[in-house]
Amino acid sequence: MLTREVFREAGRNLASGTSRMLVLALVAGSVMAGLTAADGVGMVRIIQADRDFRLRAATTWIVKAQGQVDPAACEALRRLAGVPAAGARRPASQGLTVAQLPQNPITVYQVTPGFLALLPDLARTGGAGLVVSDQVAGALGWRLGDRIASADGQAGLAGQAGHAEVAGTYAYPDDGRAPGLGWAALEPVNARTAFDECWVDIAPDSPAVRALASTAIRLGQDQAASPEISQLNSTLGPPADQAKAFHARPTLSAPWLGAATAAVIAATAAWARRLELAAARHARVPRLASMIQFALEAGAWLALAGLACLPIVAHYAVEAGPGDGPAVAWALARVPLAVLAAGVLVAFLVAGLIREKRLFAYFKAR
Amino acid sequence: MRVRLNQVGHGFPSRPLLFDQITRDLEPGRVYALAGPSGSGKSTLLSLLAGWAKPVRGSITRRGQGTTQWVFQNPHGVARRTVLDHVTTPLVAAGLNRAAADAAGGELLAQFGLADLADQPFKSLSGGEAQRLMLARGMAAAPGLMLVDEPTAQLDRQSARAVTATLAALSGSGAIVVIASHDPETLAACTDRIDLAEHAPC
Ligand SMILES: Nc1ncnc2c1ncn2[C@@H]1O[C@H](COP(=O)(O)OP(=O)(O)O)[C@@H](O)[C@H]1O
Ligand SMILES: [Mg+2]
Repeated sequence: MLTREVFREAGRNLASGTSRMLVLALVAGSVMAGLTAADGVGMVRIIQADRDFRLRAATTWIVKAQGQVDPAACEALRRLAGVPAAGARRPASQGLTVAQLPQNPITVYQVTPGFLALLPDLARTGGAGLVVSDQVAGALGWRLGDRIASADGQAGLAGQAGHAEVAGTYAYPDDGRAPGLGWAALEPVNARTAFDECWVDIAPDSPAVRALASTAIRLGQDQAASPEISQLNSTLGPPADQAKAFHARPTLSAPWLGAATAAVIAATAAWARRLELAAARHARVPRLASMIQFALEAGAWLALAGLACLPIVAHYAVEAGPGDGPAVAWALARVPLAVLAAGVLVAFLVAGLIREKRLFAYFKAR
Repeated sequence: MRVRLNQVGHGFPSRPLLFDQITRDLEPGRVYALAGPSGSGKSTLLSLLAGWAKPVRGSITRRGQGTTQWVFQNPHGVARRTVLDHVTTPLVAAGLNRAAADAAGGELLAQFGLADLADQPFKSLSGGEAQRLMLARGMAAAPGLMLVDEPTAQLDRQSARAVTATLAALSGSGAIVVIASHDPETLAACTDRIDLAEHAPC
């Protein structure tokens, strides 16, 4: 049998409706779409939990060592892989009391320059001055660049008598992170003297980096007592291993489930046409030609079903974001690919199983 | 093809033989009527001739070229494929290109009175038309031996006659044709006769 004619037979079966392409594509497509979407939801949930964990500062660790934190060592942690930001903090010698709200003094902290990168929604003028929380700026109607006048004529800034500028604002949402910076102002300083805390963002989580952070920041000889290390936001629990969660997600078996279902659908479709296959064998159509022809027909309806899955793959890839999108798209594409591969293979094999004698058995049976 | 039956007898376990002592030479170009009432073993003998079962007594030898083709009482086809597609299947399977297969298929359809229906789907055929298509398709497979089981049993008189009229077209092919039937008109269209009633076991 000419190869071209094998393709043409498959084409005529598809065009005439003999292959039941639309019905089978609908059935296979529903299975594919369902499993793809389920796995998409599972993956995006893990990614979003991870993103949420970061956004809510649960990846920020605070190493506390009263009067012992070396600001340079703390800032230097940024050079480690997986440390996006690090900086030291200590209370300023005095708070800030403004004329409008004499009852609510604003806590002022001195911080190293790198500390500001740990805070969300940071906006800066680039000039010197205080970086205040959104809450403070909002309550007092301060904008970037505004002058700050303190009630007692002292704005708390070393060397600046009576006033300072709003050099920046930051957000400090009430999302479970430890309070303290909500009603506060930060004064960036380039001090070499000891600080009390080193804040370090470690993402993805690494116990090694955590251990390094808690030891490398010490001033002085007293290395005996290990400093306290804690999460800025501990309400979400300790860090989870995203990669591990990804590979242990319940929908990980979606491609296998899809492949198994496709195998059943393809086998059923081929079995339903056993009489036609047996007749083809009786008409001396080579077994291999029948097998290829059935695989081609299955490939057509499976590809059609797969096309219906593309928007779903695209949707979850977009939802996963530019960083994780390609990985999610590839992981999700495994479902339709597994369905296609299993369906084509099973159609091929089952078409090969049907023997000419079935024709006689069929007629004896009726 | 040549088929020789030598003292053939057959039956099923724990039952008496259906027939015994059939000795015949079947020759190419002849159309044999296999006569006998329902249950006498006609279909069983056809399956022996096809080689799908071995006789419990005697032997059957088949020598020469050609395929063995069956045409059953109930025509079976692919509902949505055309009449021409059915008859070209064996031709294309044998390696003919589409143009040659369509030409040869068209000729066969004409012989069986189906030329006008070439482009119709199988499901639109009447029982008699479908049965004639089965005969045409069998002939397209270059048979050395053509086994036809009760081709008119399911048909009304008029359709049966239309089928019987085409049975003559089978004789010119050089195949051995065996038609099992209990319909006198169908049997009358054949050139030779094997009567199972004469071979009932003693
Ligand atoms: N595989 C089988 N096993 C047992 N008995 C069978 C089998 N096939 C046919 N028979 C019996 O053999 C007898 C002849 O059957 P069959 O050849 O179909 O007769 P016919 O075609 O002449 O009507 C019937 O009684 C039938 O029940
Ligand atoms: Mg019978």
